[in-house]
Amino acid sequence: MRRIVDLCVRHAGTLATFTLIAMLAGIWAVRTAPLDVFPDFVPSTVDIQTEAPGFTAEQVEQLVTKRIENAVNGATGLATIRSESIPGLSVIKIQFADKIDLYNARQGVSEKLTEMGSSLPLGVGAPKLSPLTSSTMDLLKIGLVSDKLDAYALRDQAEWVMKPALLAVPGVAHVMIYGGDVRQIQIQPDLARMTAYGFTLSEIADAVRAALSLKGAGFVDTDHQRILIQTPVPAPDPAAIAHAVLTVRGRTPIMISDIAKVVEGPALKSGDALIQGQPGILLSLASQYGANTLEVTRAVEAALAQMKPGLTAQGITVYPAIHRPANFIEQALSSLQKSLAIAAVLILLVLLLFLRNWRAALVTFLAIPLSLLAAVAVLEHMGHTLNTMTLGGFAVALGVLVDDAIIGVENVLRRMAENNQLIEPRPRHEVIRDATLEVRGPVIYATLVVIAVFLPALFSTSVQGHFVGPLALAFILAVLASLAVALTTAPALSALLFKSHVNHANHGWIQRLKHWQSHTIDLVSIRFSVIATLLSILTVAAVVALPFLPSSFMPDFRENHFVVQVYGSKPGISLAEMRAMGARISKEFLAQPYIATVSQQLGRAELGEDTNGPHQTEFHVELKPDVEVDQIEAEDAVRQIVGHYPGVQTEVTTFLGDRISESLTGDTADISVKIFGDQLDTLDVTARRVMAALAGTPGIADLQFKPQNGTPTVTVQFLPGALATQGLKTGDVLDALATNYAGLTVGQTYAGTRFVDAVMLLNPSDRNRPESLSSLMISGPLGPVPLGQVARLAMSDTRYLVSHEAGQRFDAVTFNVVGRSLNATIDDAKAKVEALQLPASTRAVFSGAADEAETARTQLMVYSSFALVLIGMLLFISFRWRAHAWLVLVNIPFSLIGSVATIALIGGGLTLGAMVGLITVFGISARNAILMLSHYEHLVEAEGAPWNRDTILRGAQERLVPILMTAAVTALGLLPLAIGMNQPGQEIEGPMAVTVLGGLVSSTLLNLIVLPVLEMRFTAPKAEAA
Amino acid sequence: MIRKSVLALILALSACGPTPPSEKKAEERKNSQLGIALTSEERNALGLQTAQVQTATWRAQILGYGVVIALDVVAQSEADYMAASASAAQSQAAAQRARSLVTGDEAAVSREAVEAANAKATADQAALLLARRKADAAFGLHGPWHDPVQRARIMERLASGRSALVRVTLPLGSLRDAIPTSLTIIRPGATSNSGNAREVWEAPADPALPGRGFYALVDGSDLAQNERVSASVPSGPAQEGFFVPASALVVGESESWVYLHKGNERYVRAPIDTAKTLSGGYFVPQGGRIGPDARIVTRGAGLLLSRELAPNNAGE
Repeated sequence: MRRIVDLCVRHAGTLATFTLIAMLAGIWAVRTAPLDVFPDFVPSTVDIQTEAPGFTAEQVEQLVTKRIENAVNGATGLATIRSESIPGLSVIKIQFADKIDLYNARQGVSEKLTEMGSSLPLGVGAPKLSPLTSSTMDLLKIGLVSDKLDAYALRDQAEWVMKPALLAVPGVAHVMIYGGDVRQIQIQPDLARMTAYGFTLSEIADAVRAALSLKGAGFVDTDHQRILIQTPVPAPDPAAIAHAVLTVRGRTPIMISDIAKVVEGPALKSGDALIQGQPGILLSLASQYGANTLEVTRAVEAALAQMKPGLTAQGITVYPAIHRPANFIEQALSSLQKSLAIAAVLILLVLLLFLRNWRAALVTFLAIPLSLLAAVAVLEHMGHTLNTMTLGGFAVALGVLVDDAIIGVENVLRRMAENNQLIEPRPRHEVIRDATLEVRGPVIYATLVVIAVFLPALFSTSVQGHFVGPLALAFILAVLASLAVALTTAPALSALLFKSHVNHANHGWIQRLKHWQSHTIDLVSIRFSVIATLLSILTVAAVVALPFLPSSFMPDFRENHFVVQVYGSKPGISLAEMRAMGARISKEFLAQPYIATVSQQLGRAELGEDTNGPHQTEFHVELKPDVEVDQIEAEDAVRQIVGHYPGVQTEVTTFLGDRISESLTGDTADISVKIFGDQLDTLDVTARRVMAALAGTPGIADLQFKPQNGTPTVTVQFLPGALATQGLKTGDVLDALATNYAGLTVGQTYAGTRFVDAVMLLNPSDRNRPESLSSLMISGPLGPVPLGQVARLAMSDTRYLVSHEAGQRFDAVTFNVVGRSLNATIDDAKAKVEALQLPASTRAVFSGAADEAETARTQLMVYSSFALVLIGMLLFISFRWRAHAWLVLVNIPFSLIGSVATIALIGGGLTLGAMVGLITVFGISARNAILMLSHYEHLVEAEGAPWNRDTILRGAQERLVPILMTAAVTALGLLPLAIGMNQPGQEIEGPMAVTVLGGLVSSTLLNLIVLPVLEMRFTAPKAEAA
Repeated sequence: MIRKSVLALILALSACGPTPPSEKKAEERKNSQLGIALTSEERNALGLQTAQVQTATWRAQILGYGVVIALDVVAQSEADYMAASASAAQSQAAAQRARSLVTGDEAAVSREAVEAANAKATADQAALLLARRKADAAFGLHGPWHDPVQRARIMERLASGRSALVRVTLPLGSLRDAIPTSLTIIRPGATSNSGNAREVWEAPADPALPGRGFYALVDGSDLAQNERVSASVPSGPAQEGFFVPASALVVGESESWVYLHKGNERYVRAPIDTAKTLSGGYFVPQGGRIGPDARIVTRGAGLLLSRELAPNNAGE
């Protein structure tokens, strides 16, 4: 180390040049660094989607989902398996564990699926494994409406013009389209004619296939040329298909139009969309795994800007930011950048104020950007983004960074001033080198202790840990970089900038402060028992108060955007009815002066990942950026609007809140009470009882039980005897049902690069009457038979969805916690559920924020214990006087007083930010204590000062300026964050800053006043003895 | 004593078990009668629309399929029968004449000639029988076909084009053993009737179309020979009642319902039988829960059902 410092001081000019180059490189790295609002806090997932046409939810569950779950269960790296089985579709969501090779893990799942082979029932499609995704990968939602174009043309624009262009943007993973009409050529058999003329569905299907056949011909080779033969491509022309020959009877050709109507019609819908309350198209874009949201959003917007003139010319109104998560990122980073810029100016002023030497202030100040830029470079290299959490880590590190530089610079100034007094002064570079090295030992240990304080946050694997981990990492990297800067650049710059004749005299106001400090120390020493008792009481009170502070798992993010879930209380409500209600809700939303856009997505997009039925819709409500409105009030207003709609259950969340909850529980609410059991009916009954019990509990909002039974169903029970009499196989009947009611794609037609499916389907007037099922004619070998003759048809209620977690069935009652402590609400809810005496075959499990908070708490306890042991070890290694280690450990809890008082005063509760603040205060307090006590050891052992009251006072006075500067710099660095606590993106940093500010007051006073007194009381006699 | 205890235990257990389906159904009906009260705000939020029920008449119809028999088939059968009949009559007379020419040991014709005449008569009789059975097989055993006068009349009408003979197949068991007295013939895709048949008789089953076959003589129709048609037979008496539009139907709790708007913003579910269909809706007979003044919910019924069956309602 000595050689390094020596080299830096000797070659100060070269090092300064390198430093300048490094700074420029660092600034470039910051400019190009990937930006995001938060670290990637949700686990990576893959979906396995399996189509099982015609199967009911329970059949899908038993015959498809269960088998796939069993097959993939052994794959490595799986954290959670959840599944949803709905009619015709099985969706299994796999969450991977942290810190594993995700691509290998996905490959493992893929191999398990391959091993399954074709063990699924006939007619079930092959399981499709999605790419790696994360639930926060929503990139942008774009709305389209048009008064000029019909629903087909609008959908065509979205499907064939916009989607390919948007998918071509690097980083875009997929584009889901809701709404509009998918153009189809529909062959609607006239069942009466079919029966009358004795045609079967398969004959018609074959005829359509033949009519749409597409084959290239060869070519003609002449002596001079090769001439190609071009065959026609089937065009999306209903007339052409209608006039195709079905068969020839008695030398008379019978055409398809004789038996069926061929029309252009809309594909059967699984979803729809309203934009600003009008029928339209919603394009939902998701980014690729690991893509940078801000960068990809801007690239998408550039692509959209190119398309917009063309779209506008066609009469399409484009809503480019129905939901733009990048807004939050930009707002958050912008306000954070402003806060940091203000902080930088304030810090420079503080340095000038304390040091009254612009050169010293400059050297000290330069250490900050240098350390931060180095940390940014390392963070980026490690694959982290620059986000509010990493920037928050830098903000809380400011004090330590300045302290590192101040300790060195101040000692250099002091030693240079002393050197000037010598008759034969030593060379400058030697003085600077020795002065730098003189204070490094304690600083290194103090830094290690601060790092140890942050280690529990770094290693936590909970969702909170995913947020705080990068903050801790940024902090640790910054302080390590600061240590390096203090040993290299700071001495080099000191050598370059400091004159030989420096004046290190303290200014009058600092002298007065020191005098006040000595006086106060004496006072405290005299009244020690009273002060100690008071402090102990306050500390105990603070520790006891901690569990009683209102807690929340994650803060309410001010995203200027709400996600409003509206579910029909009973499955089976039609898209048309939900759309009509959506139009009314949209109108009410848009009547609010602060709401900019409203979109509604109904059901699911074709090939979409979710399992939403027609009765489930999601609104995205974007607030106007230029209208001042309290987010909580706006959320309440939105909740009230949807709350008065009967027949539906509603839930209002922010996008990030929604995503966090979904990754925790598979549901969008904060808390999910999952009732596990085998019997679905028992689960339903139990869930209803749980819901009734929880209703009215203070703090519970958006209480929901999404009943999955009650889907209106026509149950078809085959009559084997009747089937045999008619010579029918069940497959024949099922084929007829599927063709007529689900549609059978029999070919494709082409218009340029677009294609339009040709689908056989019953005409809407017959298809949309449940009783007409009975008279559906089934073609058999003995002739056509009405379905009602070979099967018993009955109205029944079936389930829309069967959910699994870890292979077990469950029903979920969900709720959000609003206006009350999370823990208190959960405790009440648990007590109510426990009092219910649920059936023995069921068990209720609270999951979500509560469960996760508990996990986070447990992890924090365990890791903190390890960290405490590590800190103890470091303290005992670093101090020569063992009592000092104990003094530091005893001193740390005292710093709680200010933090807890501030949290209580502000009323924010024990939020994630507040917890990070507490950790930071512990770190700063420990660091200051270590440096103070080390200084005593240095005074006695290196400078030969006698160990008495005067030395203790001298040591305290000499540490006054660094401690005050550290406190002032940290406070001023965090002050803009605390003031901007209600700004978007500062939901975590704001409370953190407030907590640190409160803690700094108590910790600084304790370190400056009480610690010297403690030193006097407990170590002086022992040290003298030593 | 033990048996009594076991019995009591079984009874107790059965009382604790799930509600039998019939009781459950009754309970659901009772609940549905209570209905649901809405505030005007809720009514607006649901977007409810109602319509006054219309009176309607309904008669059950049995639907079947038919084909217009080509005249040449009927004519050929008729001609075959008449030819066989003429041959049989002629050979019968010849045989009789030959037999009369032989008395005792004297004979004007050879014995061989008599035997030949007899054989010819028997063969022609057999041919006649075959032709009759073929006609029976094709046109039925019990129809007017067996009456030469009727047959001649029918043939004359068919030949003149004033009538068409339609072979109709109706679903098995739909008529029990009865023979319909009349039939309505409808061309596929046509909205109005294409003819009515007043003369209907049983036909042999059509091997190409499972069901029970009938011939129907349709007068004054423009049906073309070999044309495929649909047929319907009224079944049971005509009923008076009300028309409920298809848009009012909701399915829940394993039944079909419509919502009736009662006074004071109260909405009550009424079950309907969807088997009684009318164009664009359903028929509800008089005497049920739907009366002439009833107002039916035609929009928003799905959400209304959802409101009524919402879990928080059940929990209350």
